[in-house]
Amino acid sequence: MKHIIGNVDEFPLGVGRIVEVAGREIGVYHLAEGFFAVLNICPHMHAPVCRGQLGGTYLPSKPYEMEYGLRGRVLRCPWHGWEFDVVTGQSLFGIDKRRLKSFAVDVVDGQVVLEAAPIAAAS
Amino acid sequence: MTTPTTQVVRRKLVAGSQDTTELLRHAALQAKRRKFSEILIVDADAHHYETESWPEIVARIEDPVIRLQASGNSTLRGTTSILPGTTSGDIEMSGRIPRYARRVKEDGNPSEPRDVTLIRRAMHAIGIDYTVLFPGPLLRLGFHPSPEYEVQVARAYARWLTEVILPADEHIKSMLYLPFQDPMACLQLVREFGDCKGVIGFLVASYRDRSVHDNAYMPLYAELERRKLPLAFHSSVEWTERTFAVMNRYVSIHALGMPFNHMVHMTNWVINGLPERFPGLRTIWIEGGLAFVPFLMQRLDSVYMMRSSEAPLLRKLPSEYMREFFYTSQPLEVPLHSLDMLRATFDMIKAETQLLYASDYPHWDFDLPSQIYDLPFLTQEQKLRILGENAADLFGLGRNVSS
Repeated sequence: MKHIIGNVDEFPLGVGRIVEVAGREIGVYHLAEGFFAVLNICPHMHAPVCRGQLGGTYLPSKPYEMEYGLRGRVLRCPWHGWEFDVVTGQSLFGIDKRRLKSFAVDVVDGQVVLEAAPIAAAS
Repeated sequence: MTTPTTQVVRRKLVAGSQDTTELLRHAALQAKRRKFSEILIVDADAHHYETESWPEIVARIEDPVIRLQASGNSTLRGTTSILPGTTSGDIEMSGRIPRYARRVKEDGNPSEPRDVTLIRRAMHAIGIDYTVLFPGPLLRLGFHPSPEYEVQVARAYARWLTEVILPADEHIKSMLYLPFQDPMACLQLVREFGDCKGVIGFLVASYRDRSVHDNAYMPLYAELERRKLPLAFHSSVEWTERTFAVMNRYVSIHALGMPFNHMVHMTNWVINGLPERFPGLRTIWIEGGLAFVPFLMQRLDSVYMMRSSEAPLLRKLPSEYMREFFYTSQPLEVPLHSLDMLRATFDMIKAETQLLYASDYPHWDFDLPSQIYDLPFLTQEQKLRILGENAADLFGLGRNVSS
């Protein structure tokens, strides 16, 4: 089910907003790579992950060098610092399958459109 | 075909603000779904930041010179030099755990001490009935090379806590910080504050270059045993210590240091026969995690059996003494793929009677009660014991569940 959640001007570049749609809280992010949306629940301890900050992380590098990358697309959960790539939803420590639930979001005629099914049952 | 905007609420993320209740809203949802309001939950380790109320503590320092020094008014930057600066690393990950920096901006409730308001917000959100409260920066007080400073500030903190914080809410308890560099001052602190409302034990911060088996501490242990007050060790780690100074990341020293400093004291405690000398003195080992305990049990048992002449007071194996200690559950090292190791750990430490749930809120690795409650290998009875009944028995707490 598609929902218009606002004008594209209401989602400036580099900023996230939490919207309540279809009974869920969803964080919507306008990144350099496009628009992305993830459920505001961290797979670790169910924290409001979208209240965390966006940044980058250290990439593999040579000894004594530090290379900062994935700028602006790493979401850090505010409770314990778990890191997720907003673009893919994957947790950064790769080997674990835990990830953020992603939703399709797009810009159509200047409107931001989020696709989210209603929750199956009340929880 | 898109639907028109329907009931979309946009919540703007406001930078720089904090409200504990809002931050922990999902914890409150968890508590509601699991009906924690019907369960007695005792948080055996939570923290406040006493430096936010520093002037009130300073006012209670008895020595006038140290009081002036602690006030920071005579220093270049206007900050006290009494609390050792932290080399303990980037706990808040440069702000990625934002509640550390934002905390100071959170408003209290004018009708009660600010610390009490903040603690209550966390308790209500998480579903905690009783909190055992510990300081933050003060845990590093023992690093200050002058015992006089440690004693003076420890006493002032004890006075502030027992005069202002603990009387404000009977669900907030504490184990008072012991200035371990001065054994006689520790004894005196127990005698003066051991009867105060809300004081349920006494605390040693675990990084120490003192031997717990030093004869000088025996009168302290005797007094605690006589009063039936437990002795707690709260783990901590110091990056500049030689062992850890070779490590270049906080993740490394935190992983090793927190349990390691417990292990040093625990080994001394057991090998020197202190459980035999003070059979009524219960010890609690806080914030070291649990994974180190089976290691130490196995290790001490096997070496002891080969060199038992070095520990003549022991009448049973080290692991059997360790199984009578109390442990707090946080940080629970939940394995990634299989819970077998965790279950074996719970068996080895006799978690059913010896494990105390702890959150360690607001620290960066806090645990919600669901960490225990959702473990599939525990019976409901075992969960209730770990979440609150064990602590209620140990500390003599009333069983009223506050909703």
